[in-house]
Amino acid sequence: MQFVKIYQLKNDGHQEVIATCKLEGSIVICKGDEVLAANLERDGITDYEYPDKTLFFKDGLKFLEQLKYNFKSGYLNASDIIEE
Amino acid sequence: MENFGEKNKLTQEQIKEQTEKILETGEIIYKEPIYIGLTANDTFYVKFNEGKAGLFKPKSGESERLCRDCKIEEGSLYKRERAAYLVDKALNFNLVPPTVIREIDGEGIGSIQEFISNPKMYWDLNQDKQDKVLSASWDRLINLWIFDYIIFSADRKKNLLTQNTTVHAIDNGLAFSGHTFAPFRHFFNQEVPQNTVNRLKIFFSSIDKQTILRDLLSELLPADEIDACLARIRFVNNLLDSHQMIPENTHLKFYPSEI
Repeated sequence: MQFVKIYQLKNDGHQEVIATCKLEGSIVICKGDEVLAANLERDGITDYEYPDKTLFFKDGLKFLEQLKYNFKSGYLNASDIIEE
Repeated sequence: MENFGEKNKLTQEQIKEQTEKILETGEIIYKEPIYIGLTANDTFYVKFNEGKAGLFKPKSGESERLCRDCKIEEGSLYKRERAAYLVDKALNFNLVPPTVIREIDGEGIGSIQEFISNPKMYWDLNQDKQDKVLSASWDRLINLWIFDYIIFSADRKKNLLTQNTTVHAIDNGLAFSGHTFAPFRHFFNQEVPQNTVNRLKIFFSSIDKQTILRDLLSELLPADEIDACLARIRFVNNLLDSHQMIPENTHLKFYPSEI
């Protein structure tokens, strides 16, 4: 199973996993923070290799790969793809 | 009776200077990595004895692939974070939290930016709250659009930090190169706040301010990127001087031609 965790930084410096995006078949499903998951599903994320392109859940593995580039501010961070 | 409150009230400029000093030289009493090696840009949360907190992004933790994909010199993101802050400071837009360069024992050199408390990324706001931010921060978002063009941010889009309804321009490492301009949204034909027009005019009319900025940026960016940045400031200033808005048909180029 391949998945990415999205962490939120709190005021005291500790982090919380607020969402997990998993590859199920060829598409991605994001669970956890409903607002974040809904925004990801609706708006997609940037493909940093082709910045005019937007990736959506249907783009599967590519979407998962690019999550960490879209979430790198420190306030919301996405992990690399984790394989279990 | 003397009003000690007024006398001791610091200006915004003085507060920034104080914060910069703490970030640069303050005693770090706590340091926590944010999942090193598993994210695109290693980051540490740091706390200072003086009561401030910051986010440290070391040069050693910058993603080579991200730099390659964005056609940015590897190992330069931390410098670009600082450069963005210097441009923001020079233009008096007050969008970027204070950001300095510092070497931390064991982690090497990198950028430290003041941590904004009670933060909410735009990504994590529902539609209603996003609309509230848009409405409450309209002028500030127009300033952000102009600022992002000036620094040629390849990375804004929804990468917006909010504190209540105030927006802050964080995560400016992917800026100044010509890769792409990716703003939060465009504001063509929208009236630009008069104080923004004035700020640009003040900067543009002062050779001293431009020289100081150029000198500061020369320690951080290649000469051609600095030239392009200053050309964009000139371009925007000239446009706003004539129109007080940026017209729909304006091509926001990396190196704009004179108008």
